[in-house]
Amino acid sequence: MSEWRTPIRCYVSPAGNNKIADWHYGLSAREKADADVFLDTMRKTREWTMPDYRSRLRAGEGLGELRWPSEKKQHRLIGFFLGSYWYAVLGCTHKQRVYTPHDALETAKKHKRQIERGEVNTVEYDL
Amino acid sequence: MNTIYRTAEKLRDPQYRKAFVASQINFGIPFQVRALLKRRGQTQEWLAAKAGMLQPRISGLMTPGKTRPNIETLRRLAEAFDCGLVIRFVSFSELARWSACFDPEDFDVPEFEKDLGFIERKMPEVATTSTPVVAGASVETERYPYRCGAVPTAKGRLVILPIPQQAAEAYGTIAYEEPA
Repeated sequence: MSEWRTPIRCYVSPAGNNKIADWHYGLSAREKADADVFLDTMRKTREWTMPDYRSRLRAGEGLGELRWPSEKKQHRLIGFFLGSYWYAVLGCTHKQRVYTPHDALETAKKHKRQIERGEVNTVEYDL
Repeated sequence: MNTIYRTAEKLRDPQYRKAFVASQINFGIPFQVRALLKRRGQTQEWLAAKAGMLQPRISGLMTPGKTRPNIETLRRLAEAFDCGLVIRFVSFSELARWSACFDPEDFDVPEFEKDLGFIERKMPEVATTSTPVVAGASVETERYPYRCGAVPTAKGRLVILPIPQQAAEAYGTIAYEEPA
């Protein structure tokens, strides 16, 4: 496939750090491989549905999350659709309704607003 | 960066290599089962009945990380889908290529009755008017990157015949040499 059906773009902080690349860098080899295989498959998929994608997070202000298991943990990549792209704003883990880091949802909402207002840059997901 | 080159870089790490194989199994099988079910236009209940399993088990097989199917389970799924199953050791480059090329929306493995790979090898009528010296043979696509057409050779020209894409994938290209 030459084009992704659902291309992903990554949040870049005002300081210029690709926060999704930072999250990916912090994963173990096994978690990285799982994330790579899962996210590449999702990018080739036009319609994202459960169980891979939850489209409306509770109190998420339009945020959704990609969901996959790895190393006995539930991994999440939180983001939102805008135009033909899905914008990844934060990577985290989830257990019994609790995100790690605990303020993941609040931070994700902040990142979403920054992207929508054009206050920060985004780059193509190429990890 | 191209997905295959990106993966090749990561595979230099032995830990990642080991994990990549496991990830391909853990995520690849559920996505393949989903794709096959979708292409067949069938439900989990249909697959459960065909494979002699319960529907929740099928659901688990379609969810990454939920279950770890053994080879007998995969064989039963192949039987239910009326297709083959290949379990073999491959190079990492082949695995990376498969991973990059796997298309969850177009992945289709036909059941036996729709398998074009077994169509009868017949030369098209036009070929009978010349002397077929390379009938039903495979032509290296790198040398002759044509679906059909004619390539000049020392003796004349090599005529490459148009055949359906799926048949071409099964047989290579069908060609015959036409003297000058």
